[in-house]
Amino acid sequence: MTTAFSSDGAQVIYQSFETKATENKTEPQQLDEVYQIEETCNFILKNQFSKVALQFPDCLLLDSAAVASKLETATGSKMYILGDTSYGSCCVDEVASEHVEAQCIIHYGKTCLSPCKRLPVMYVFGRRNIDLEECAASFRKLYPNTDIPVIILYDVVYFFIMGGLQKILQSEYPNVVMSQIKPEVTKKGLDLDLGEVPANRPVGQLVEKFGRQFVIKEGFNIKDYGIFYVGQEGATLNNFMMTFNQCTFCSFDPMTKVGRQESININKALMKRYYLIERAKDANVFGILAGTLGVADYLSIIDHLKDLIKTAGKKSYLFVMGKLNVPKLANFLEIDMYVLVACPENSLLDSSDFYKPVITPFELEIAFNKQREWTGEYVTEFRDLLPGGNSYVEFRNQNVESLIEETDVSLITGNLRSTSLAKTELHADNGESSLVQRNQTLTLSQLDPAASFLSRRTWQGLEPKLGETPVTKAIKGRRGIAISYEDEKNS
Amino acid sequence: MDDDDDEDEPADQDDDHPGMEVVLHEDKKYYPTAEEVYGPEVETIVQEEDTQPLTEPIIKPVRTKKFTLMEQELPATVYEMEFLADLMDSPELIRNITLCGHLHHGKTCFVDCLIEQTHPEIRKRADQDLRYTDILFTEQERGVGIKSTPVTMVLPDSRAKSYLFNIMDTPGHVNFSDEVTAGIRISDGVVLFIDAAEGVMLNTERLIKHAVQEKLAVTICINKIDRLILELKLPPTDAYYKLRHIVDEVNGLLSMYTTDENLIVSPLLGNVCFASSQYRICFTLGSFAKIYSDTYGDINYMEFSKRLWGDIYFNPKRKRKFTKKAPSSNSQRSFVEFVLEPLYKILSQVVGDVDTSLPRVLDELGIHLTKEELKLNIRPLLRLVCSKFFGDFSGFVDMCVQHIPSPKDGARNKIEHTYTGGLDSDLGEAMSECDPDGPLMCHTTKMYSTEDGVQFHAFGRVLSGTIHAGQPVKVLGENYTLEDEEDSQICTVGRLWISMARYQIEVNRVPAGNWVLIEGCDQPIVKTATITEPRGNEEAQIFRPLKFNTASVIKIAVEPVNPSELPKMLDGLRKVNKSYPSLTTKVEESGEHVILGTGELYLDCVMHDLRKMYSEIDIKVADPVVTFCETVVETSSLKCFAETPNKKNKITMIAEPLEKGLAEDIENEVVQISWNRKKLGEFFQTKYDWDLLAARSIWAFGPDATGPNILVDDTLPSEVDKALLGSVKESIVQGFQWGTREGPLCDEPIRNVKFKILDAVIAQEPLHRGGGQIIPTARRVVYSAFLMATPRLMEPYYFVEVQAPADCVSAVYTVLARRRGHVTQDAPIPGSPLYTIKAFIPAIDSFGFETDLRTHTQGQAFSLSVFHHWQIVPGDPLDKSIVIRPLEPQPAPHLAREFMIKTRRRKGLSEDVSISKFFDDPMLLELAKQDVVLNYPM
Repeated sequence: MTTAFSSDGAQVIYQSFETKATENKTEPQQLDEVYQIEETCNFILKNQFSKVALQFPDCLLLDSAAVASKLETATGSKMYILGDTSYGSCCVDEVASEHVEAQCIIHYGKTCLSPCKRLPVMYVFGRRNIDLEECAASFRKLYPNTDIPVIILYDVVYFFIMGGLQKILQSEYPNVVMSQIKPEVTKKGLDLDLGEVPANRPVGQLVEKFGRQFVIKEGFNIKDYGIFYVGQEGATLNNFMMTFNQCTFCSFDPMTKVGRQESININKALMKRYYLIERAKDANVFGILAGTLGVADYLSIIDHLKDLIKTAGKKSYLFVMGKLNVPKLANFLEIDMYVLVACPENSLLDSSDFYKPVITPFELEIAFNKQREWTGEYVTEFRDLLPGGNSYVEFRNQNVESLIEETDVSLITGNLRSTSLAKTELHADNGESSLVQRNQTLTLSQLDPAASFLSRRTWQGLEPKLGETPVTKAIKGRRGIAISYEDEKNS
Repeated sequence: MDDDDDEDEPADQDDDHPGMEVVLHEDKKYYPTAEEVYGPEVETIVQEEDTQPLTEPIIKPVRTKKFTLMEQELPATVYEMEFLADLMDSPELIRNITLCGHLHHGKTCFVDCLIEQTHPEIRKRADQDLRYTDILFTEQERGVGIKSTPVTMVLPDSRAKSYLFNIMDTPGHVNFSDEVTAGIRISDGVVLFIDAAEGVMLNTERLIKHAVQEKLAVTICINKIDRLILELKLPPTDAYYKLRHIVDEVNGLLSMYTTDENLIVSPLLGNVCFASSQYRICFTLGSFAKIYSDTYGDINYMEFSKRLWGDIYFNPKRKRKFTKKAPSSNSQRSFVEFVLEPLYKILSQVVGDVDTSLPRVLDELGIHLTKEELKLNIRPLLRLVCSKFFGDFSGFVDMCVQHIPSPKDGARNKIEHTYTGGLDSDLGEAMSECDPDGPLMCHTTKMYSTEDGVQFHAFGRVLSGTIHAGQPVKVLGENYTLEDEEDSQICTVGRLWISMARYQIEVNRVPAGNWVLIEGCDQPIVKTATITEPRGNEEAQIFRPLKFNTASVIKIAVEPVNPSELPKMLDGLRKVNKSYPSLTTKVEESGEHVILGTGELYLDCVMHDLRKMYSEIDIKVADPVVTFCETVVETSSLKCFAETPNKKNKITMIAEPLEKGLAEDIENEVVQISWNRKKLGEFFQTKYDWDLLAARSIWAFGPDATGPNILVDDTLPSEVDKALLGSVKESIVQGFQWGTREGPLCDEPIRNVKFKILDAVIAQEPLHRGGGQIIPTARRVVYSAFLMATPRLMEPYYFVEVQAPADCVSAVYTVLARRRGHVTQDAPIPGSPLYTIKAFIPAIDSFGFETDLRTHTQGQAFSLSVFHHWQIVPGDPLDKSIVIRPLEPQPAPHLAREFMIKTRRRKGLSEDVSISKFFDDPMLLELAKQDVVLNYPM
């Protein structure tokens, strides 16, 4: 599904994946260690899974066969390798694993740690080497003040080494907090046993975000902390920076061994997202893109978004189209704006090349949920927006009076836009009689945004020509799909 | 105080033995709660002791915000208010006029004279100008008009017939030209004020052009003639030459901007009046002649006045006749002899010799002053004497009545020019008849905020029908069309007023032809609106949005200091947007809230209103920047093509610069894309020498219908399947418009570029040529063609006019040169010690220019600047060999690169343009094959 709908499919077969030079094939003797074969076997044997799906990202597919055969011989269970996920490879692909009716999934490589709901999952992050001394040195350089409270976050591939880093830094920096990886488990209490949980947990507020948790001291706010990220720049870091946008960020890249301050661009990025929110207020027809089929609650958020869009008097369509690309989205001219429902790391899509912008559910909430205002806080995880989530805000409790006749000037076009929140609801109320008396005031306002687009199209549908054509008996038509019917010659 | 214990009061009060039960220590109650002490209706707040500073009162007094000077009650007038209201029903007795002119040429002061004439109790204090129409405190403080202010009064002409005058006093500063435009739209004529000493200045010229374009009657008032006498001390003959020079200059400009040869001004025609607002002098030739006839009787003053201007002399010897030739070498022209010399005499007598000869002269003139009045200072005395001598401003009234059409006569002309609908309907008929019984049509052009800045009142002119207070109306916005009715709303009119600057006369109905201030329908109005009947007038279309003679090119980004106050700031932005006609507030792609205005003073006023008046919050402002444009200077060095992602379509284009003047023509709607092919083709063939084929195959302007770029289909029917190409026209146009909206250099709009489609391979199956394939590809081709055609950056340029004494001229040159400006003309102003220097300066280097100029000339130079044109920034923006060092001024060839990189940074884009992104692999191969020398590494 990586190319547009209209290709003949040959491209998919001949497509070559670009693999990074750093991701060479792992030496056979290192496989056990890098892929944690032993722990994985224990996990499978303990739970007695007979069919196991192994999900590898594209860059690790090279090792997949070796890993699978090792696991198969060690456990006797059947292994299936899942390659080329329809969505981001950081998410667990439950749908693909259900094709083979797997009982559990072992996810390899980078992950966004988004909780999934159907199958037990074990994450194998892989181990990447890191020069701890170098890392600690750049930490010292970036934080000359030893009293400063800092939270250390890291890319999952470095989790195993973080205990070491903490030991090095603990003596000098008393206020350093090391985050722990703890994926939210929704199915069966599977103890993944990742790193040793410190026995004497300091008292304070426990913050859990994106499968990571850390404790901040009593009386401190997350704003007071600086954040030190170990890993390469990319979606994960972006996601953290957006979410903790009041904190100053420093990062250390173990590949290049460069530590640096990361704060400059985040405000710009945030303001760019703000622009999209303003665009959203102007848009009339929305496309909801299902960018995940695995992350828990994705159906609830889609329903929630549909509801939100409808209440705002706009129209929404739902799209499931796998990985996104520019031509795919540009096919739907009636859509003014897309909302992408995906895991936190894949949500922040730079849409400047797209014909119509793509926003996150949170941004749509700001645009249409009157109770929510732009404060600079940013939520990438859509689950927080749902009832029960950290950032849930009720949007229906407005009294009707405040809804009617609210006008607003668009900050993009400078034109007037009316927030027609109440119109649809008022319309729905008198559903008893389908005939409504024509009223000048109302007929003006009941323009359906989608219908108004369709009415502009040159092709208005088949002409009915009632009574003009003779009546004929039904005859057998063509079979197949429009791209090539069965009776057509294959070109 | 500690309120913790108070709340956990156990509810077992009604025990039999109070005080006997066992109460735990923490449950014991030692003190009554605040509620018990003060009662349930008193709010009690428990706080730490230092939360509120001592200076801040605990209970703050309710503060009412006030930003305007208003009369407390209706002042007395020389006419009855009922009479004024009655006159509103006779359109032929109404005149709607706009007073406009260059900065400090005495418009407001002139209105003051009219106010003093009609309001016996309003008098200016000592030596302070009244400035009755400058109602904002800021206007008073700055001494410059910011808003157009309407006044309505009843004025008598020289035959004592009363007329209702609706006068719009407009700001003279070029930054506020938009206010003038709003006033001109609802007027039938302008009175152009010209300072007799300064003559025709920058804004005078622009206003003449603007008034002519808006098809208004033009009359002029040469103001401050006292300056010729008292300040420049010109001999009367020279003063005459100077006045004639001004009239000639105006006529020269009029003939330049119009083809109508009848449009000339001359004192003989009666459309020129002379005035000195400061000394309450105002006369036309007619009114001056009438003074003679009133004094000596038996003179036909109409005939006399016709002999008072031009090379015409009075010969007292030969039968007292007027001759074309000077009878003797020392005889004076009649204007000098009969008008200027008496004027000089009066002024010099009052200024010169108050004690001895003045009473005798006054006696001769029939002016009687009390002893007290004679003891006045010279200025008030002069004002008093002149006002007694010249009487009411009937000359001005005569001029307006004769030369500016009444709303009834002017209606057809006005509507033809401003109404988007046709005139041949019943509605058009009613409007051109100015019919008070017709369907309601009212055109509002300005929004005035209430005294406290909370609400807005719409101000406009009723063109047909009658508007009633409390009536439901339909408000049509600027985007309303018969096809798309979304931009309209039903509102209920609140109260109605006739505006009198500092007070308002409430009325319950306003018939056609008048100006009205409307309460209650401000909500859906952004800038201008058309107000009509709520039903039964479905054919009503809108009046055109205002067309300004200036452009908003200065940009500032604003941000609340406290991010949570963003909604407040947005509300404020919405309000300033309503208040300033040409202001644009928007969110840019970078997420910044930007305010676009015409100049520094303009934006300063906007920021004052935003910070103080409409939202009381702290706002951060970024350094001002200007908008840029992207353009090309050559034709693409090779044909650029791109394939769609499915490899089934290929589009080839080249880019080249547009002909000179074409971009402006498109922007000024001289040519419109909505014209039919034939008309459009003819325009390009005749005016720009396009060949027939190209002229007929113009596809679109971009980024919108008035965008200064053109997309031309230059394919040949023999090579390309035209029908197939036609089927994707819509998509290609969309891609072109998307591309030109944000250029590849720094996301600024593309300007002055023609994109030619040279070749196109389009898939047969509709499925393979969907918008998704074509639109992004068309955009990519636009970008690659653009980048192959030597791209350049463009910046806005200001036209600057500086007035300075001769010894400061060199300093002006220095200051200009330091800011990349260059002088186009410098010449002495005739009859004055000043020089006028005309120059161009890049808008981006003009910030602080005025202050800089004043420092370098010890405050003697005065400058005004206004947007003039777009000009290419020197240097190649894509030249990577240029290193931009921080805090160092860049040499000229580096500027384009510097501007581009800094704009990209500000927008949060990557530092440099990644050119290869816009080229396909086959295209890159082609580039290599053709061995194109690219300056830019890919």
